[in-house]
Amino acid sequence: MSATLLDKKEISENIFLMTFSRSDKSLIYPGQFLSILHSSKEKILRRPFSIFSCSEDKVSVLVKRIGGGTTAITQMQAGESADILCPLGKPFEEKIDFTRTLFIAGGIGIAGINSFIRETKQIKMIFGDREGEFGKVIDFLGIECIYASESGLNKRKGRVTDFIGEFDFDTVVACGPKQMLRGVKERINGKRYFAVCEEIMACGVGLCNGCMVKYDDNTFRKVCTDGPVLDGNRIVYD
Amino acid sequence: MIKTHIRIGKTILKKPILGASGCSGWGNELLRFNDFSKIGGFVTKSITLNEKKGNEMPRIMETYGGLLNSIGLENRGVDYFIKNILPEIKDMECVKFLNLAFFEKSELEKMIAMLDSREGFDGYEINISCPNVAHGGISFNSSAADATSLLSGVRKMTEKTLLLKLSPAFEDSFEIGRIAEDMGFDGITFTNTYIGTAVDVKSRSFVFKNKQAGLSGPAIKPLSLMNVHKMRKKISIPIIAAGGVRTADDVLEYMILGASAVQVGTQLLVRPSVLEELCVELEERMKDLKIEDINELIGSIKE
Ligand SMILES: Cc1cc2nc3c(=O)[nH]c(=O)nc-3n(C[C@H](O)[C@H](O)[C@H](O)COP(=O)(O)OP(=O)(O)OC[C@H]3O[C@@H](n4cnc5c(N)ncnc54)[C@H](O)[C@@H]3O)c2cc1C
Ligand SMILES: Cc1cc2nc3c(=O)[nH]c(=O)nc-3n(C[C@H](O)[C@H](O)[C@H](O)COP(=O)(O)O)c2cc1C
Ligand code: FES
Repeated sequence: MSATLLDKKEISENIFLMTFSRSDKSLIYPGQFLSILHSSKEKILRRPFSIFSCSEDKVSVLVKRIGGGTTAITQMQAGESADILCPLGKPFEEKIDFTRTLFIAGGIGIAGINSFIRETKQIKMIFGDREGEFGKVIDFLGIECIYASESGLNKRKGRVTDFIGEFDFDTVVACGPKQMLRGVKERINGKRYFAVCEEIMACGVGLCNGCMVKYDDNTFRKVCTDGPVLDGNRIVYD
Repeated sequence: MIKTHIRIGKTILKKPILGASGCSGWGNELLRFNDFSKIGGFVTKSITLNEKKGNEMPRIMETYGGLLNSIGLENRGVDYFIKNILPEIKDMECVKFLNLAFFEKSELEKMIAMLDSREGFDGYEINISCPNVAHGGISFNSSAADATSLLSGVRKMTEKTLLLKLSPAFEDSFEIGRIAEDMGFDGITFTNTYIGTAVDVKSRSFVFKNKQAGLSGPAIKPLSLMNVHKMRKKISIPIIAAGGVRTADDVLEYMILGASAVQVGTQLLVRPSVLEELCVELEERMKDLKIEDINELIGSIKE
């Protein structure tokens, strides 16, 4: 799909909110993602990003600049056209009871969580990063949450998993690095757990079997088409 | 009227462009992005007799201009294919080849025996060139003698179009191509991926659990062009070229060197709509170059 970059905001150092036009008419569900073709000559694959927010004619992603692809993407200027596949990933259609659900996000995983909490900001949430570098992002979102940082600078010192005990809940939705997703599984005693997963993807549309995660019965799931929202209790995190 | 039909065995391809095995899924994922009445066709993911789990992660790594993969033939086995996948692909409007992989000759024979009376596909691409499994498979490709005993008798088992997919990693591939022609194979798919690897410098270990992986994408195109040229000198049955095809001119280059059709692998992962786009682009390019029948192009290289 051909789209136009409408707006780019640098929310915090190296973190950009990028809004594109969209022409497809599909409904977009929480946890779904899109993929952008970038102009970096070094790498050829599209780059996948969670759909941070969307409306009928726009879609936004929160992009953290970490390498060649994300550098090329975040250097785009408003008005430039982009080649985007959207939406990708299996629609997440489970009912979420916000009073009984704990949301956990690590770092840029906040982008994957944001699509679940479009309806309300009255939620139970723990956010974590290394040294408070996502402060401006969390302020921008206006979410009340426990903000844990490993250095403790101006935040509560620790990892997200250290604060799970402060909440009463029966469902968890989490997005972040694999070690965090594993840590969450170890602390929630089998409560319902939706993990929003990331794996290195080649196609993002189910063609290549490159993006698998393993379940406890030794079967694989494709993150791009069976997920990205998968059963966090069944994933083998290694 | 521009003619883009080509014939391979009993199969007529409306366009000389196919989705390559392992990059086309089971076809249904491609349907969202391509009008199948406008494309040549596709080759399925590899099918094995029994379910195969596939390799551990990571399975994919980008390299400069290319892609290393270590997928490992993951599939649910031929029974599952017949019950659950064949019914879904059988009415698709394009040409479909089933890629068959195996570890022993008897497995190949069993698969063909189970499949051959069924309809809904055009033929087989026998795969002895997957670099991502430890035993069987590619070892047949490393020796013309082994390949001969493996492939003898296969032609008698089916009247459908029969292709053999070969690896560029072995000099014997050229001899095996010639033997397959003598045996009555209808075409040779060339090339599969090149064998490569990558090292993680921090841990001083191989990136892939299998150590080696298959290199594909734009980076391999000049190598595969040369290999197709060499193969053309050895055999006269159709060659279906693969290796880094992205544009209509890539298709033309391969055909001028003697390929009858091409397969698109890696670029399909980048642009899942590329099959339909390339078919349109190819006709435009033929108009530009005043080529009326694609067949006049095949092997027209001036030496
Ligand atoms: C479903 C999904 C949703 C995602 N959502 C977002 C999002 O909303 N915002 C965002 O900023 N990023 C997101 N990502 C991650 C993003 O796709 C990668 O950061 C990006 O592809 C890196 O590209 P690059 O060329 O800049 O980095 P590269 O040069 O390719 O890589 C730089 C480093 O990052 C590592 N890396 C690359 N890709 C990934 C990945 N997918 N996961 C973990 N490590 C990786 C590499 O191994 C390397 O060490 C998501 C990934 C997936 C699969
Ligand atoms: C992710 C991936 C998976 C592949 N899986 C298979 C496979 O299962 N069987 C096979 O015969 N070839 C497989 N191939 C090889 C391709 O079919 C093709 O021969 C090769 O990639 C060269 O073409 P390309 O440069 O256009 O990708 C695979 C390639 C890739 C990139
Ligand atoms: S990335 Fe290709 S199947 Fe998921």
